[in-house]
Order: sequence, then structure tokens, then C-alpha cells
Amino acid sequence: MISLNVNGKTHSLDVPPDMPLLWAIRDSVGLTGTKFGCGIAQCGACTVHVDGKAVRSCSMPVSAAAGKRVTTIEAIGNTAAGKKIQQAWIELDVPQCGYCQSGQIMSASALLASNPKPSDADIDAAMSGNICRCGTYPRIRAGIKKAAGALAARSSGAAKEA
Amino acid sequence: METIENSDLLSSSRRDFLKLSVTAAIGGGLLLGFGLPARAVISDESSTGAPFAPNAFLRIDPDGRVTLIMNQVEMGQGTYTSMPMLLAEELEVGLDQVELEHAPPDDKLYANPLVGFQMTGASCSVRMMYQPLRKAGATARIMLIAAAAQRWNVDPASCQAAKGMVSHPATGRRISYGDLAETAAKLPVPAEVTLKDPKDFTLIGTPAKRLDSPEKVNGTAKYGIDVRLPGLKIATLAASPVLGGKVASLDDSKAKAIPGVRQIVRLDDLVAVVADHMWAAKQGLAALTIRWDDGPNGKISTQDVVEGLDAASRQPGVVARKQGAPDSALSGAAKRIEAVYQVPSWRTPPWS
Amino acid sequence: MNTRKIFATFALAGLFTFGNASAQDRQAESEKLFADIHRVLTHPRCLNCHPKGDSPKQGLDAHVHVPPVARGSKDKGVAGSQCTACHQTKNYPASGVPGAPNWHLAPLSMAWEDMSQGELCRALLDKSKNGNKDLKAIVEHMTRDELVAWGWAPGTDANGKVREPVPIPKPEFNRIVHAWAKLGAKCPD
Repeated sequence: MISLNVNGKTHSLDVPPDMPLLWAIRDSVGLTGTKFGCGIAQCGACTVHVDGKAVRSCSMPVSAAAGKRVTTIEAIGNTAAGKKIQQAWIELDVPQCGYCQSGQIMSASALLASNPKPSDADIDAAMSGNICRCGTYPRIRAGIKKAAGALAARSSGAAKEA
Repeated sequence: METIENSDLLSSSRRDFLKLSVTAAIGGGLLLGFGLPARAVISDESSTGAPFAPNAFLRIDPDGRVTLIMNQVEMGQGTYTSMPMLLAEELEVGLDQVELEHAPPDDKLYANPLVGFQMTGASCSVRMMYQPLRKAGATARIMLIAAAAQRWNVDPASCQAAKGMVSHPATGRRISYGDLAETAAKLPVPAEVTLKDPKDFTLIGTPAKRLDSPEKVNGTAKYGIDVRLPGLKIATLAASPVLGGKVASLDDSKAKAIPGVRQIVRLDDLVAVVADHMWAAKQGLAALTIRWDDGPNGKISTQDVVEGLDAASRQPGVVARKQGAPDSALSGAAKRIEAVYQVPSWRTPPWS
Repeated sequence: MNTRKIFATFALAGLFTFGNASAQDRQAESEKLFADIHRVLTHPRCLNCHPKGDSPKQGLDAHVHVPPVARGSKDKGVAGSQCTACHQTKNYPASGVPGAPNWHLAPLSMAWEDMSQGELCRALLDKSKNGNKDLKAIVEHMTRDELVAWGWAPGTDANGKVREPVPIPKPEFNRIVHAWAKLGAKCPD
């Protein structure tokens, strides 16, 4: 039995230890927001956070995630960066078919949480593992910058209040 | 398990749902069938009164919920915003007041007028549904106004509809679509409706916000891969890599031994592994040993196809259209450029 | 005469003889050993993660890593796309992604691309470039480090194909490294 903490809730899963974390999340825990795109770490659709760091869940055995904090798209809005990213995504109508966007948002949230003012080069470096067949890249870039601005406004606002 | 009997549909409590046929000439004729017996049973269980659903594309519940039914699939091309705009414009509701539902499979009710069956493609959703959806919205609006006018005992022409409310400016009275639903549901569906003059559009022609963005950023949008039904199994399959090939031999003993694998299905030209979850199905597939008999096409290579196309292209072709005098123009040209462009065979099915 | 004394005399003579020819012999032997070390260190399985630039290489043909990834300030990738986003502590057949503990790029000071044998050898031994390692630590790194050891057990790719390991088996390589160190870790020119 593998004990998995997903979005703050603990699940006891009767799954083989070498099952990819992706399928444990989708089929065993039942959270389908995280997508399967390639299974070989080439597309980024499966991106989740493990202990706050972006991970391609298709490439991590579930045993390696046991005892760690797994965060998926369903809960990333509870983080400051994730919330701003999602808001920016809606404001700019970033998604088209939307299939890649869970992964895009998870990667973008990880970037923003660690780098509050990413440059174009930073965005390139951080996001190149997430591909989008619809080609929403320009809006993804704009969305990250918009969210960064919103995060900055939020923290400067908080600083003023303090 | 529920069974919907025919007698239920014709009972007195179901008389609210009238059948209506409308024929509209859209480059080839269109038949819109209406009446939603199955949906009536489902929605009746949850709402207090009868919903108002004069056609297959919208439903207004007494609690005020306006549901638009989407017959054109959303694949990122924006139908789940453009189709609602067509309905909402004539219905006189805001896009922030509607909920969307996927249309169930029904070739008659939801046929794409271009092809006569339920299909999304060929870049024709807006073109083909422009008139039918506006008519559907306008029909409902007219009936709601008629219901209000009936209730207030005024001339319908003195009433206005906007943002899900009918008002009577002369007396300042207002009533919501939800409150009119039950009354409207009992009215006859008009055969003819007048559509808005485009100069009066408040929605069509504006850059509306996508209605599907929120669910696509929070993980709740459901794609084909996300469908979950009670007892649903997951299958992977190995198909003959060559058209016309067959399964020559199969050793599935290792696959069967994998926990979670339920069944191996062997057909002429493919083998499927049915399992409780994707990982077992994937493992099962990898554990199969299949020997393929490639069949008559087994020796054909990409090069053969390219050469075949090249040879065929040198034959005289069918004239699709002739305009001007191409032969003399080409032969008399100061400069002639000949070039061959080849692209690989590309398929682009939507993701999910 | 005392047998022991005779033996000692001959032994001393032999040592003396050996000592005289040792400098040239040792250099030649060292270069021969280092040539083997160089063969391993410049095999794609090692060199792919000792690049000159910002991006690791991938595969036997050393193409640029796909998907594109960047070095980052700590040689571990950048937030959102760190090495460990995909590379775990072990090879993972399910995804075909190779893995070993602490997967990351060698720092730029240890970029060996396009180096001659001599240049690589000197860079290897240069404390200012090799992470302040003395010879003992260098030997330890090459023979016992788990990430280095990955080169000998590189796992299978996404198609299930076994990756070609470095050209000299590990026990042999370890022996060569120890021998080279023992000879004074001499570099070719």
C-alpha cells in the first residue's frame, strides 16, 4: 500500500510501486485535471508539484512520491502564484482546446513562485518543457507576465499596509 | 434502472412539451425536431416546476437557470462561446447568465445542416448554425414576452426583453425568465419569428470572453480521456501496423498475469487489453507477443507511395474549374517557373 | 654470504634501476592509462552532461537535449523545468527517462567538450575547476560517485532500447583510475 498526500488529503493506494504517479493521480485518486500527453517527459501535460517543485508525473514512480506533498491543478489556485496565473489565464483567454493548460499552469506557477519577475529568457527556459498544439504560446507568455505584475502589485500593496 | 415508457410521454403532465417542426432553407433544407421527453424526465426530478424548453437548444428552469445546449463540439475553436452568443443575442440574456450543456448524441435534433448529421468540422459551425440558433433564441424570447404580456394583460408589443427579464416600461413592471418559465411552457411555439436587425446587436460582433476558459484553468474541463462511468474499464490496443494485415499469432500469457488486466480481446487485425486502470492496460499491452501477417500491403513503402503519387500526377487530371486562358498564358509567359512541393502525410486529430 | 643480504642488494639494485627509468616509463604508462580514462570521459554518456554551453546533450549522437532545458544558476535547471522535474534517482523504464541520484549538469568549469586529452587531464586535476578536489577526491568521484556511475548503467529509452554504456567496464575503469593516480596522475601534453 502506498500512502499518497494529494492536495492535502492522504490516500492509501493499493498500486504497484513502479506505477507512474500520473496514473495514481488520475485513476486511483480520481483527479483527472492532470493530463496524459506522451508518457515520456516530452510534452509536460502531466506536470504536478511534489513538495512545491514541478515534476512530470509520468516520469516519477508513485513510490517516489510517497510521504511527499503532491499538488495538482485542482488545488494550485490555493497558492499565491497559482491563483494569479489562473486569473491571468482567464483574463487573457489563454486556452484554446485547453488540454495542455493544466501542465502549463503548473509549470508557470512553479516558475512564478521561485522567480517573481521572469524575463522572456526565463520564461523560455522554464516553459519549454510544456508544448501546446494549438499554439497559445504568446498568450501563455503574456499570462505569466500579467500574473507576475499582479503578484508584484499584491506584495507591494501588502507592504504598504504593513 | 429507469425505463421511459411511451405512455409517460403523452400523459397530461407531459403535454407542456410540444413538438414543432421548422423547415428553414439553408442551402439545402433543414429540419429541426423538438420536444425533449428524456430530458424532461431528468430535469423534472430536480426542479420545482416544469422547465421551459421550446426547442432542443435551450432550457429555462423556474429557478432562473438558463441552459444552452451545445450541438457543435468545442475543440478550442471557440464554439462554446460563439454558439451561445447566437442564442443569447436573440434570447436577450447575458453570457454571464447562461450555463452550457453538451448536446447528447442525436442526429435528428442536432444535425449540422451542412451534412445532415451531428458533426463538428469543415469550419462551418458559425455559418451553419447562425440562422437556426438565432431562430431558436428568438422563438424562446417571443414566447417569454407573450407569457409576461398574458400575465400582465398587456399587448406583447409593449413589452421588452433584456438580460433575462421582461419589462413593461409603461408601468415599470418587470419579471424574470425563471418566473415566466412555467407559463411560457404552456404557450404554443410560434412558427415564424422575426430576428433582430444586426444594427441592434449587443453581443454578436463584440469580442466576448470565452465561456470555457474557467474550467480549462482549474482542471474541471472533461475531455474524452477523463470520462468516468461506474464500472468503466480502460483498454489499450495494438493494431496491425499495415492496412490489411492480420494477427498471425498471439501469446498473451504474460499480459493476463498482470494485476488489473481483465481481458484480452483478439480480433482479426488487432489485439486489445482491457484493464481496471491505464497502467495495467499499458503494462498488459507491453507484455503481449504478437506476430503480424502484414498481408498484401506488407511490402509497400513510403517511397512506393511517393513514386506512385508522382506517376499519377503526370497523368491528365480532372478539370475542377477553368478561368481565363491558362494554356496560352503559360505558353506566352516571359518566365515560367516549375516546382514540385512534397509534404508528408499529416493527420491532425484533436487531442484528448 | 647471507641470502637475505644478497636478496636485499639485488632488490635495491633493481629499485635503483627502476627508479632511473621511472620518469619516462611512468609518463608513458600514465598517458596510456589516461587515454582510456579519456575514452570514457568523452563518451556521450559522460560528455552529454559536461557541455560547454547552457544545454545538456542527449543520445549517442549528442543532439541538443529535447525538450529544451537550460542550465540555471546552480547547474540544476530553472524553476518549472529543473533536471529533477523529469530525472529521478533511478532509471525509470516506464518513461524511458534516465535517472541517478542528484541528476544535474557538471559546472562550466568541468565542461570537457572539444578538449584534447592533455587539456581534459589538466582541467580534471585543477582544483579551481574541479570543485576543489584533491587527487584522492578525484579518484573517489570517478570510481564511487553515483551519478558518474550512471554511465555504466544508463537504462532503457522510451522505445525500450537499452542505452549503450561507456566503453570500458566499471571494474576495469576503476582499476585504471587507481593505477593512473598511483603513477602520479600524469597528463599527456
